[in-house]
Amino acid sequence: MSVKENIRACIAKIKGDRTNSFIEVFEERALAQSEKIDALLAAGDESLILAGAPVALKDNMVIKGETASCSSKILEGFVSPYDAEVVTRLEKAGAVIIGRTNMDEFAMGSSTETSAFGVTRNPLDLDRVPGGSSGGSAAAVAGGLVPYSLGSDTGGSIRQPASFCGICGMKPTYGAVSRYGLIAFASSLDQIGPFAKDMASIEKIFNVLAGKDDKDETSCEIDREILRKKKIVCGIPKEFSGSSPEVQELFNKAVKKLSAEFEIEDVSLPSTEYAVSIYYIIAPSEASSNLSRFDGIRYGFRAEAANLAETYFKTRGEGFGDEVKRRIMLGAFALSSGYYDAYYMKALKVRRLIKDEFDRAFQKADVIISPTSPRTAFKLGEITDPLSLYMQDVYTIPANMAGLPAVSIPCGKCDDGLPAGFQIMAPRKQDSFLIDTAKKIEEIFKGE
Amino acid sequence: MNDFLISIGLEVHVQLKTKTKMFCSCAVDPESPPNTNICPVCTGQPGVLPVKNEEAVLLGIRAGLALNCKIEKFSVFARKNYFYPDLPKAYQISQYELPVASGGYIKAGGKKIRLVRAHLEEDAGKLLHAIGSEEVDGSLVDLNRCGTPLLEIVSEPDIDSPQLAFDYLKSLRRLMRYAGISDCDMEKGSLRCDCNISIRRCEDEPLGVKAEIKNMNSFKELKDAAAYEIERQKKLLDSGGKVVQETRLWNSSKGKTFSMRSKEEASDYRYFPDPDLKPIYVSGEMLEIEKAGLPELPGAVKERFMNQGLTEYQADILTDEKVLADYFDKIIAGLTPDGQEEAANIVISNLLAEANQSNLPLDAFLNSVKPAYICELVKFRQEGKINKQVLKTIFPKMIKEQKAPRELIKDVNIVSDESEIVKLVEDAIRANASSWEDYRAGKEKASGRIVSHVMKESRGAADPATVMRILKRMAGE
Ligand SMILES: [Zn+2]
Repeated sequence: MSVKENIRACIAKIKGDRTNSFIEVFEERALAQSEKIDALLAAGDESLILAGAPVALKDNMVIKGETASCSSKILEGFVSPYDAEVVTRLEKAGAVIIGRTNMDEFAMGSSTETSAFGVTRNPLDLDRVPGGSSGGSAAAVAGGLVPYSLGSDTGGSIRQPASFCGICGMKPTYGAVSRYGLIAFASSLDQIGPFAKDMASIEKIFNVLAGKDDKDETSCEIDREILRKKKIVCGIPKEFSGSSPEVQELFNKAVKKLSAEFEIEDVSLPSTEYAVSIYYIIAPSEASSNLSRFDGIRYGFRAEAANLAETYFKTRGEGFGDEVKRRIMLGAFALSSGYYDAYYMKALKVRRLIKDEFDRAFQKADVIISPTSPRTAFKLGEITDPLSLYMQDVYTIPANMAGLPAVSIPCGKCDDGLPAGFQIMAPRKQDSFLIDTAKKIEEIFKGE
Repeated sequence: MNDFLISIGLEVHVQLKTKTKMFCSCAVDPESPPNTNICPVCTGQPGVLPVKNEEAVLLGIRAGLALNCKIEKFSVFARKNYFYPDLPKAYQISQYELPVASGGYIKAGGKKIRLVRAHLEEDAGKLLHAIGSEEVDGSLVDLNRCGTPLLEIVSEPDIDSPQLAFDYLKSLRRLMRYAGISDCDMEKGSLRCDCNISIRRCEDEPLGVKAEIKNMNSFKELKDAAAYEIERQKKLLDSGGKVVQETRLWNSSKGKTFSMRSKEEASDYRYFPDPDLKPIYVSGEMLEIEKAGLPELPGAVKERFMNQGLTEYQADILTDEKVLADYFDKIIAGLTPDGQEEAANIVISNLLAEANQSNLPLDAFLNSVKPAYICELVKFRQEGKINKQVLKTIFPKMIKEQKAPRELIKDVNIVSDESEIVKLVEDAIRANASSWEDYRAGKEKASGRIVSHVMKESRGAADPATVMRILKRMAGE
């Protein structure tokens, strides 16, 4: 079967999707790229790591000549004049970018319910959310539409939907994958990462994505050498204890399975208690500045208005959804003079503490494990209170705060029949070691 | 009652002389048609990231050194958030809590004006208001300038007069041009200046409420605006009023400042460190390299010229522009030390006069005049071959025709043969016998009649200094 035929079949599957995981299929672009790959393969090119593989991108990564919207009305009609670095790297490796997937507006959410393009459903149970904010990308892989997709993770937006949808999702070390072309939410936390059904696939696509990019000062080279340990020590933070009974039970069972091959240790990360609180200062602060450029002047949606001030007010008032507006206001307040030291500066100090505590914990443990999310996928519309939604990220936010690489891999199903993810975190730049360890753990979970 | 103490602080923006913009690789070129030097980064497209221009950072460090600042080992870019159509990201990348350079001073008008800091930032774009025009009826945005590297230099309120503000800005400009940091061309906008002014009645009082004056487009306008604002504040206080903290715009055609916005309306810029950029780290080694690469600065050149025997007035003029000082150095390299003063005279009285009349910029003008020609003129003057009048006659010809002075003096009526001058002097003594007697009796002034007689007879072709020398010699015999 040629790449082109394969891509056609893939597009047909996406068109029959009932989860609303895609916002748009890039049919023309995908078919053109397939022909190119077919020609290269016919010419005997064996260097393409992802030859012909369809990859779906979250709607916050830009592709030259294509629309990108962050699932927001405010970017209506925006067509990118340039490619994100991940797009360049994927296409160079022979991947076919098949379409853009649904997300919480500007990646602000944990359920993919705040999109301007409607909710995405969980392919395992259409009445439930796929998690978020990268819900479309997670559902696309879980529903078998594509083998790979990319998401972005600012506070858990890859790992939590991976957990809800029963697949693998990875948030690399901060800076391991270039953010150039990722529409920023919170610049110091945002990180692009992949979804796939197994860790071998995650490893394959991660190796294509990772590496320093001169267009992103915060990008870095990761340590590609894998630490060889006789017995890997898994630390369990005693503070990560707020899970629902069924999630906790599944996690305990998973740990028991590991104990034959891994050493299990208790570790303590006391400041992570404040991780969610400081996340909701740091992320909205950065977002309030990052999202200021959506003003209706150069691109995207512009409201009819009589003068400049009204253009700003109406464009932003009508263009952004409620959750985005809530966070912009929160951030603008935290940064305003007179409050900056009490909120933003203090939050940065706590962030420093969390980093230091992880450093200490990693002296005791090689990786740190926990449930990915305190609960399994909830029903659409079930959680409407913002604060309860914010608490969904309590186990995932700490890795963003410390810039650590972390994965969520499936570890079976709870009594309610829904999957729950198993989170593994590693020291900064130890992405390769993390993947290697996750593969071993995955084997154990599968082998029962 | 009318005696007030004046405190002026200047905030000066200089455009750094880089090929490319602060955070992207677009060219810095103010001459280009609108929106041609732009890219996704400097137009603030979704998803773009800034990358520091190393050249701009080095120029910032160099500027800090030239300004006697402390170069910070660690400095940070911050975002200054506000909405305006010429600011595509809706924030300006600047430096706030941790600037690249702090402290320092500039010498001006015989004083040391202390500096608060110097920090790097990016420029905004330009708006063209065409409301009501047939084609557009609105405002147009040109983003060519957007992202151009700037250095903001902030002084302490040490300046106590409009004249000193003027001198300070001149000194700053001179420093920046010498060190190759900026062209500092106010007309082209590569030097911009805002001025904070407050007055108070005595030393013991705290600084008065300040007004910030913007929109001065020349050195003279700065002086005029400051003078106007001081008078305005004095009158206000004398009549029992209060100065309010506000921004005022200078209107040069009206010669007045007008209120633009008061502090209550001032924006909160919500500064915070830019998470997209890594801090600037300056190593000791880097600093040493920059220090070593710093060219000789105007203060040092001036001192050197004075040590070589020039007056302060001459040294000041010759160091006003680096190109001129460099040119003067080339001239004196071809002269003996006793020729330097005459060289300075010729450069100041003749060369600069010609330069002012030509339409060329100074560097291009100086390129068109061979320093060796000036040396030749100095030697002719020293030898008494030509007088000032002849110098004045042949100087423009020398430039226009690109001919050496030795070629040109052939064509002019010059009495350089000493025996001929002796003859002329003897004639003059005979015609002014009583003056001659007076002169011999010790009346110096009596020589005037004799010398002017010689000049008249020679129709200005004799050199008065040579005439005097001969006269003295004859009187001593
Ligand atoms: Zn640019």
